[in-house]
Amino acid sequence: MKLTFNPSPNYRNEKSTTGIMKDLGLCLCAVLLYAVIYYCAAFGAQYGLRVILLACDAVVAALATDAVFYKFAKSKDIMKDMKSSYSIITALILVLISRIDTSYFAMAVCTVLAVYFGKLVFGGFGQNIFNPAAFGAALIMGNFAAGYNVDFATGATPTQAASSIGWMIPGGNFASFISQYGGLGKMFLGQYPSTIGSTCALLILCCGAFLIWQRDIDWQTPVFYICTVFVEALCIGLMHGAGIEYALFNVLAGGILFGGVFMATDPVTTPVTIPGRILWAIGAASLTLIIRLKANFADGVLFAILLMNMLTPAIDKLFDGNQIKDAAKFRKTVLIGSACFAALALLVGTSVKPKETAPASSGSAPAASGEAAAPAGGDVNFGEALPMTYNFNANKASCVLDGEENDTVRYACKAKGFGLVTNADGEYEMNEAMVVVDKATGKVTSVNMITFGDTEGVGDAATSDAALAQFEGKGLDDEVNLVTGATFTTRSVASMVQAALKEAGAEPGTSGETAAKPAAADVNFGDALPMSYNFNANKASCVLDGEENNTVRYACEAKGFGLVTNADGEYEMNQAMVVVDKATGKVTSVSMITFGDTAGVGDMATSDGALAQFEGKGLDDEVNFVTGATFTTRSVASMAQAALKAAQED
Amino acid sequence: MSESNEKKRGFWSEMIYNNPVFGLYLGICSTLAITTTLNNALGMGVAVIVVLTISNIVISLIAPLTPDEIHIPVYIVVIATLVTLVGMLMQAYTPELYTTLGTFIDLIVVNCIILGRAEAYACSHNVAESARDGLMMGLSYTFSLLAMSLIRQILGSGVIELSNPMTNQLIFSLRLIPEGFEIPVFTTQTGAFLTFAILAALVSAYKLNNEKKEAAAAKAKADAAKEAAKAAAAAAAKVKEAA
Amino acid sequence: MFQERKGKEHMSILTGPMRFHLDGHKELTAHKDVLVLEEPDDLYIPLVNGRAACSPLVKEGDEVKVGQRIGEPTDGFWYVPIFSPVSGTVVGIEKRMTAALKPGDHIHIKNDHKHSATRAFREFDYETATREEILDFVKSAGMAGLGGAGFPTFNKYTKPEGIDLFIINAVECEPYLTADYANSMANPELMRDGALALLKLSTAPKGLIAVKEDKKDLIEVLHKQFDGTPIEVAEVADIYPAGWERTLIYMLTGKRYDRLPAEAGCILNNVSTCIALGNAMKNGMPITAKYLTVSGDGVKEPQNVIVPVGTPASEVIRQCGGYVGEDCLLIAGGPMMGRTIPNDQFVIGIANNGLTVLQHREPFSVKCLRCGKCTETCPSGLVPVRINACEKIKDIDSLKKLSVMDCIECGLCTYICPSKLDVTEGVRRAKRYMALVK
Repeated sequence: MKLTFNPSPNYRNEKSTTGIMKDLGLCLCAVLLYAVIYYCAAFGAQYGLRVILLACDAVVAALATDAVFYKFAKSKDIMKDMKSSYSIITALILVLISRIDTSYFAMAVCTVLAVYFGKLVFGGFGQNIFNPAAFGAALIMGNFAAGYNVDFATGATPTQAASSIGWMIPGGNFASFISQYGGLGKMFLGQYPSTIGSTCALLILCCGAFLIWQRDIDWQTPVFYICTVFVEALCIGLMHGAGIEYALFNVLAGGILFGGVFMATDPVTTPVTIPGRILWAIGAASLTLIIRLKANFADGVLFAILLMNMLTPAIDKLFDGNQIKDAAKFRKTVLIGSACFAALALLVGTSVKPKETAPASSGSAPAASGEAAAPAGGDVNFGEALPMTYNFNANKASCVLDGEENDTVRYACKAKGFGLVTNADGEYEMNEAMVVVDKATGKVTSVNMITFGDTEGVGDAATSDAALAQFEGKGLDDEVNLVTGATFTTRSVASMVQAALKEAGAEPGTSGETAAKPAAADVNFGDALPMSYNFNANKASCVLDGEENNTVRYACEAKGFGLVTNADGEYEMNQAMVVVDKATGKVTSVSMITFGDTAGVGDMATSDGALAQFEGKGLDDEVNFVTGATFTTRSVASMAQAALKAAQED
Repeated sequence: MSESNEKKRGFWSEMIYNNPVFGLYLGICSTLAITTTLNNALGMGVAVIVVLTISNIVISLIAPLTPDEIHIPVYIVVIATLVTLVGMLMQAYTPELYTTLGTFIDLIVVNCIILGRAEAYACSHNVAESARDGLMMGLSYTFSLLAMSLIRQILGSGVIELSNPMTNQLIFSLRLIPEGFEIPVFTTQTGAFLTFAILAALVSAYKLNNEKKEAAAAKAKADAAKEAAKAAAAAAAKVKEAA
Repeated sequence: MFQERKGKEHMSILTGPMRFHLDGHKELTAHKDVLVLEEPDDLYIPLVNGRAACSPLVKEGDEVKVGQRIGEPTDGFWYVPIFSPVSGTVVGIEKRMTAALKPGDHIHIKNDHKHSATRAFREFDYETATREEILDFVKSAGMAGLGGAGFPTFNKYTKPEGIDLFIINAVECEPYLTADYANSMANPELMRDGALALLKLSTAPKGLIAVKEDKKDLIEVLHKQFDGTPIEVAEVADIYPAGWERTLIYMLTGKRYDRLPAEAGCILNNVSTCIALGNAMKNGMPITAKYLTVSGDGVKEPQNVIVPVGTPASEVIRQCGGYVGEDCLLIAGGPMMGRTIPNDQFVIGIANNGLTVLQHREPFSVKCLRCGKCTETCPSGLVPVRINACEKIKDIDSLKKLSVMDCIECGLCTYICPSKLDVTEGVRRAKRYMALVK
């Protein structure tokens, strides 16, 4: 019978760190499970399996790193050290913020580096400065992007798509932008591909509520982080004419919710006092928005968290004191600090420009053209140029002769518009218009809408008198402009005009004016794409079509966006005729036979300007992705590659 | 550390103890920036050896003549002249290397090792010793660079490659890590810092270990000496008694 | 109905709750019968009660009776005279291990079990006496803070200025302890007399008796006793440390003070002190026996006991069934603020009101994860996690800012720490380090 000495107190709460980590692990597994189910349902069992394998990969790598480290550090009780190191949580978070096409090698290496350099080197659990999972994800993003497994590509994530248009989506364009992800509702439920774990907002919020209820995490950090992002995005959006949907999109897209609930609440790397945490959260939110708006990265959550982690020790020192006696001082510090961060974010936000706004958008274009009667200049917001020779495949425009008068012919045309082309919900009808063409000149005399079948308040910006007036005097060789915010309807109208012009016998290049060559400058070229790339997924094949002098002509076909991603809609194989110079082994020309991808999206890569980039290229050269039409570019490039290879062998 | 201690160390031990990069933490910026390939490391290392040795010799000769107030600009002029000479030689005979190393050749002027050794050693020692010091420092600097670049190149690009800087011919190329399994981090600046950290930690651990061993050995020696003294005293007392 | 005030911090989201609800395990002892301990044969009355030292008035061989004055204080401020708890013969002055783990002088009395008593004080009517007379009575009757501090009661009332509230602390927030509760339930009239006497002494126009809201039967008793008097019954939330002066005054008035409650216009005393004063005034007897809670999972029969002052702790435990298990922690007081004593030879003094015996289990501690829970629950508003971190690296500048000396070592930080660290001990080390460096 022994009476021991132990300093007071000798009474402890049951909740332990292991219990907290167990709850966290449970929530992370729930998110992982959702990801597996979603990927299985949307893309197939292979994808779901990959998620599970990536998770196992990371967990095993993390545990192995721990074991090796503690062995080398000659720890007295390796099992205890490993149990209290909680690397499994790091591994799971890392998997959930990576993309599904990360290679297994990259995942393993980055987990090892994250656990070792992010945590163990500082002294193990509880001593690290930086969030190890964020560090590992930054490593993957920065260094292993080339190793992304193409077979598992899922398309652009919302943050990438938003980033490619400058992270500013004015109110009018929002509906069409968000429809590619199924709308905000579907985004909330997580029915779209992004990083593995950050999609299902509903699930993450439930996990957050559970963790706060169980007192595993504090409520101030996630609430202030998410709310500040929302409020600042709302202010920035209002500055640029975007509504509350823009703010909601900012919160739902990317890693805000996941980062806010699982990464920003990591107690080791965030300040200890409540006012410190509030300041930290507001700072992180402001930095996230600044990085999203201004930096080259698609999503700013990771780097905002890492940057604020750097400031944690300083913030801790700032709030050293007595919470009762120094309450007024702390309050002042939090207010001033938060105001500074918020002001910075809003300042940056004022200088954001949406990328698709052309210089002519301020309404001076119709007046400057001097052709048609200038409608009230500022009324129609004209955007990018649209050549009348454009491939309006998806619109399925058709014309019926309505009548003739003097030299003009009148056609009653109809074509599919926004709703019917994008398979969007709602009651949509075909657009119908009366197009009058001058037979002699082959130009349009007038366009009048009969039926407007698209979205009220959105698409009819392209059917106003001022907007329709732009077609007057245009022929097949000319260009019109897309109306910003009503691009689908503009295309629909233009397709009808084109059909009418064709029916009237006009042909491109014969209208007596020099055909405007679609300038290569119209095509938005992006990253480089080597012609030796592994186009596995496209399954390109060639058939010899004919030979002439030194050139060989191949009829090629390859899978494009639709068939590679198994997306809904009517997609066909892309077919092109590729002519190769046998002597030099370079491409002479590429012309499309069939375009099977998304009209208005992929066909940017099949315009003459885009196809012209293949001329003179061989297997050792590089071409460039067309921004926004990367899948179709790959498809075309795969056909060119197949043709070049076939020419080599013959 | 006393002079006698320094002399007792072997060549390799001195490399590690007096290592300017991992021991004295001088010249780190060039270490981090150029150690992506073995070629770069060797080229830079040789350049620094040449500059360091000659500058040490020159400075040890002119140090007694230089007034204290202007000694730093004087040394820098000397070093800058040498660096310009070396730079021009490299530009002529090893143009590829010159282009790759770029600014860092000119930055040898302000490499802390050169000026540091000039201040700390060359100005107060004779020519032979300064030359030797310069050579040893340069060699240990080169070894550090080699160590860093070996690790970074093997892990980052998977191959060890060496080419003749003057003719640009590949001497050998060995692929140690299969293609697709390299870790690109190590060719970036992040990897440079990570590698540097590991190597610095290893050197530090080695030094600490050695110091512990030496302290233990010294203590053992002191204890033995005490015992011997005691025994001698006892013996002397016995002799006295007998007398 | 008294409403608890919500002070400024409750409105602020920048601080945590600075309190926590503990599971008090009060049901182990609250409603059991109080055991009147069999008096032991030998009693040892310590000559030093906390800081109040006395010189003995008796010597070896003297006969003493219950209530006889046997020790006279040597200090004018720390003035608490000692009275004999039993009748018997003085064996001598002996050195014995005290609860402070230092040997100290004790008067060893051999009990003759005859209970011959002598009335120590004449009957005293507080209603007719003047303030000065009451003060003198309190001083000579040896009244000390029976809440555990042992502070000479009269010192609080020598010059009360600007006091507008007199508070009786019947909260007893320390887990396992129910001694005050049992005492109050058993002696309500004495409590009333003592409380009203002290109210008069304090010159406050009104008073509050604070009690935890879940003690419904005690509340009823209090209402019966105090309804109609200037003392109102105040129900406070069942949290720890509601019984601490600063927290209680804050909960009742919303005010904070720097050093003394008088700055907030309050005077505070424990309810057992009131009962002891009532007993002294009505029955003329000093503090000779104590209500003691013997509880915890390390003792076979947890219950409240009435124990004569000077009984060795081992005797108390023996009469409560003995220890359970092979490795126990014997704590004088409650588990949160009581100290563990590695032997049971110390005696029960007037300031003890509990012996908690717990089985000793090593917790699984990991490293501090900086969760900040200790900061959120610290009733003094400190940041224990930072204090611990700065103490480890001996960062004296940060420690100066962290107001380390405000820690009362209530133990909430250690209680709530999920990594099972000794947080309070770290703050104690910081205090010692700062005292050293100064």
